[in-house]
Amino acid sequence: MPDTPQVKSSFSWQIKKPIAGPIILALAAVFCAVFPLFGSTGTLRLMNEIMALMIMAQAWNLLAGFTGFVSIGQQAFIGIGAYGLFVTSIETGLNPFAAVFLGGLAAAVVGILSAPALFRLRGPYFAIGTWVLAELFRIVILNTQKFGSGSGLTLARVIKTIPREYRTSGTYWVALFLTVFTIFLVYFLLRSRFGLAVRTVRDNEASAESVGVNILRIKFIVFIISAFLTGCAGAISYLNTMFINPYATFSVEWSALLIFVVIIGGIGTIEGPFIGVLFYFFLRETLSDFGTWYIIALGLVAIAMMLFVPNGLWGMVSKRFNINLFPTGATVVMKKG
Amino acid sequence: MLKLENIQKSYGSLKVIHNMSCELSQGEMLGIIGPNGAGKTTLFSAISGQISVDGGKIFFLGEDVTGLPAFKRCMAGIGRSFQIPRPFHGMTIFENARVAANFGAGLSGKTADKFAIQAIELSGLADQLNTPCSSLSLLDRKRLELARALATDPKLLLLDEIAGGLVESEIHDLIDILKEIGRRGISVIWIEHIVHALTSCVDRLLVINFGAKIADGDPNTVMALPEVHEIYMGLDVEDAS
Repeated sequence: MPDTPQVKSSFSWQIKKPIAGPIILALAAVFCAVFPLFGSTGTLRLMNEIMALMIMAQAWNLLAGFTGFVSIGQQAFIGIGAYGLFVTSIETGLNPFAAVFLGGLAAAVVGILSAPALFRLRGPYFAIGTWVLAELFRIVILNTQKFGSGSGLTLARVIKTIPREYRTSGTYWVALFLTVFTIFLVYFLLRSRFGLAVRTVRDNEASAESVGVNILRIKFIVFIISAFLTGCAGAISYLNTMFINPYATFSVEWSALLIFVVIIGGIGTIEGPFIGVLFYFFLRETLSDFGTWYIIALGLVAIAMMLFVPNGLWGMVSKRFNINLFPTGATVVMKKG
Repeated sequence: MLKLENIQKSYGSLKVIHNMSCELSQGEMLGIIGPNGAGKTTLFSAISGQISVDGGKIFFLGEDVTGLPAFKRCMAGIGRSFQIPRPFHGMTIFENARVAANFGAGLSGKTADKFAIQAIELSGLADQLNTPCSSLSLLDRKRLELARALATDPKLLLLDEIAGGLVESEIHDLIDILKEIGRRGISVIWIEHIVHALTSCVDRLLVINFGAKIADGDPNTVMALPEVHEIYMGLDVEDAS
């Protein structure tokens, strides 16, 4: 413990405690929670997909946007989460909604085991390393009978044990819970002293160590949290479609999509991934009838955004109107007198 | 409080530090001078743990810290500033110092906030608490290096060319801050090329060249030595000040 500081500050101050964002989020969550009572199954399915992608995007952004580690192997955790859910509920008959969390845990365990090797790599090497991890799991599953090999697995038999009216809404509530949980977790984590340390790792590792931050520990914890959340989201995503195969699940297109939505929304902000996901689904729902042209349009949008709106949609709005719903920084406010 | 025993460091075949031994007592302010490439910054990195040494031992407060990683040495009380400022550019001045107070000094909550703000005040940045570090001038970035190192609650402060690149009036402000730090009983090792700034503050002066100690002692006596003059290519102390 340091000595009692001898010199008193010549001014008084306090740290700003913003609550607007969490309140808006809590209200939105309450509204969304009753949505299954009147929404159609098709709409619920779409909402599930949106929420799963939101969780994945937050998790990728925590790793890349706040800690500075760009992963292009998130599909490893998506796939492990999804396979974790399918295998446990098919083999043990466990309620698939509960198995979502087991999927997340499975991804976290893989994260724990692979982190020591991955964090020996930096920058682009780290990115490729994560991709290799995903490929590794794809190949293993492709060659394992128990996991359905190349033809995949279906939840059809498991889902018959769930009453019809809860099949989609059950997934919806789990997804909603995890979305809200993820945003609050990331927000409060980043506002804590841990969050400050996370940002120092991104900005300058040598400086971070020189002010007492154990950078390996920080990277490790962030990676595990990201793996867990991504695993849960992967489980939700495939619980929603009820069918899984190693080609789609471990496809690098997942990571490409995450990079797309986070960069378009605004990397390194909590609002960014949220906006990016909504924007992506808006494009998809309006343009997907155009087939291949839709993919080209997405690419053009991505290029245009990077050229003209490098801070993403939320970065632009936040700067223009000077609003910040989930500020991760600490602002000192001077008190009068 | 700090004791170096036969420190050695090489980069490939290049020997940067040869058998360097040195001691520093509590509350002492030691200046280090030497030509470019003499091994000054390497010595700092070895003390603060950014690099590992090839041989020799480092004792801090009686403990052998040779094998400790940088963050643990910081927590033990060794704070450093970098020659080329390395602020956390995505963070404000306050956040830069707060993270140091949190992790280096091991404080939390309001106590950490207070400690960080005091370090910032002492370094002369109190009017810019919420300024993002990406927009700071060189002087302010140097001050931030100091504020951040102070916020780790150091018992030993390593300053690497903190006055380099500053104009005369700015150097004077900095000297006042350093004298205040000295009064608080913090031991300081200060590498600097601006000799008059050093000699006006330090208790002792160490001259190194090619990774070896050339002279060590009272600043004025050391600066008068012919071998020191030679290293500085005839540069006269009187001229320099």
